Amino acid sequence: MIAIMRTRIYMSFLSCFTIWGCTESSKLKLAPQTIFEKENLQVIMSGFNKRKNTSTILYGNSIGGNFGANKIKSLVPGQIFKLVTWGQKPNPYWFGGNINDGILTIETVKISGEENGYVFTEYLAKNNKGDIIHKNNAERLATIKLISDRKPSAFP
Amino acid sequence: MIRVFFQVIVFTKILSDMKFFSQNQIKKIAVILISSWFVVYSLMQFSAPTISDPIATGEFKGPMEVKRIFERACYDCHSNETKLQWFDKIAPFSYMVSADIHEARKRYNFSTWDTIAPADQEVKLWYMVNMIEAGKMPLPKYALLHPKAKVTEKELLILKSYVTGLSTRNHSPGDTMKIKVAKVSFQERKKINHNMVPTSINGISYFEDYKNWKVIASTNRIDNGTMRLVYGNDITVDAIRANRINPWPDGAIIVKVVWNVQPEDKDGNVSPGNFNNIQVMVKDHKKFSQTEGWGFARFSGLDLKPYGDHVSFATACIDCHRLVTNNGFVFDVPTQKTDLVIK
Ligand code: HEC
Ligand code: HEC
Repeated sequence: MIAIMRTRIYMSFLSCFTIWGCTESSKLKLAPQTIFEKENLQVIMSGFNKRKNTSTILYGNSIGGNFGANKIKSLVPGQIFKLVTWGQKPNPYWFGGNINDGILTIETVKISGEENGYVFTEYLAKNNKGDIIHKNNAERLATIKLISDRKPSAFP
Repeated sequence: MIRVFFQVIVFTKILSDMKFFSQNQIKKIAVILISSWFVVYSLMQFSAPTISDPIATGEFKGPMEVKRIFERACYDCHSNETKLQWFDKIAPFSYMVSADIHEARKRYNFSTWDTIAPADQEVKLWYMVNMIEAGKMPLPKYALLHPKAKVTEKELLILKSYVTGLSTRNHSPGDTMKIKVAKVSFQERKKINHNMVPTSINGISYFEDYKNWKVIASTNRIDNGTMRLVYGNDITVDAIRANRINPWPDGAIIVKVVWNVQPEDKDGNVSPGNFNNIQVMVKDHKKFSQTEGWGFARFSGLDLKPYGDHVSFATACIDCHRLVTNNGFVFDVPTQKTDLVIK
């Protein structure tokens, strides 16, 4: 019995040795929660920031030609924008690449009305748990400016 | 072959343990088995392949410390300057070794490095670093017998900083060209072209529906100055949720949209520049059985020119994607780290 066991160990060592190296790489846990539930929105543009280690996507609904080849730039009532910010980390599977990490914030901007060339916006920011978070005025304005200045990514 | 030799010994040992035969019979069987093994083994030596060393032409030029690592760890296979050990020249090793060298030189050859376009040289160098990091190069079976060929952690760092420096120089200016946009929508173009759409040689056509899919990853690369969005259809997203990605279910489709990056602004923000290409992976384990069940396609530029003159173009795609065999050959899957909660 012991002899057979010994030979088994011996043989598995040999086959490992002669056929291929005994390599095995570890597997990381999947994180489906980092996938944003965009509902009926589409990507308008994306971006990243190496200093802040974040990556962003601006999503929008289809009102006012928000996407498609001839996107318009003006803000019109009914438009909804969501600016999603993720953390960013080195791609665990490719040295030289970065990939988004968990969701940090979701900022929603609704264009609720218009009067004499001014638009009214509703602003709401949430974290990845769905809790409302408070952004200061400067932060809100920065997001609204990013939206009104938006340059849609070029899609074919 | 060597394994056969050991198996013969093990086999005779088992026979003797089982006491079917007398000691004498065992001895006879052992002698017959071992001597026939020896005859076959010796015959193999006569027909063993020889490896020629064509003269090196436009050789790899890089910093000395980088070149030295490649010379020690890779040149036996990926160059014309193969320096074999005595045991590499003995069958059965000589068969394996010559097949590997043949294949390795075909993939890329440090001795004829200047025949590779500079942009492709850069791609290959990053490929090398990642193959070493994944423990795939030098080939593990070779490294076992040639322990000196192993690349140490410190040497890998040298290579990493070399390629990073190279790409930073090449790509940090960013895409400063005026951003071109499609003049008419894809749907309009489709109408103009009588419903013809750009189609890869393996039958995968460009389609637009991915724009309604979820983004499964947002990535960027210093190795080629690009940023990407990776979209997955519902089958793909459901497979990630159910942790069923090895293998991925048939019907999973992944689309990667690649843009050049613009120069960083004063706050460190980077935005997409010109559209570069779109790459598609379609899972159909029967149709694409040659490439691990994934069909590959790439469409370049706003006019979506299909890439590849022959269906075998996808072999190069899957070869590199084998680095992530455990992920069912997909690199960009969302993985866990610490989730931050912003208050
Ligand atoms: C014993 C021979 C051998 C040695 C030594 C070796 N390779 Fe390879 N290499 C191969 C073979 C065979 C292939 C193709 C099959 C495969 O990928 O397993 C290959 C493929 C590759 C590829 C894929 C290239 C392409 O375009 O498909 C890269 C990159 C690579 N090797 C890098 C390296 C590096 C870097 C080293 C040294 C650290 C190295 N190899 C040492 C045999 C070798
Ligand atoms: C030298 C290695 C290499 C080769 C060759 C290669 N890829 Fe990839 N591919 C990668 C890496 C690394 C990623 C993930 C990094 C990223 O997108 O930022 C990737 C990602 C992808 C993705 C997104 C899904 C995923 O796996 O993450 C698609 C689709 C894709 N590649 C298609 C192709 C096609 C089509 C080809 C052949 C024309 C090809 N690849 C050849 C390295 C390679």
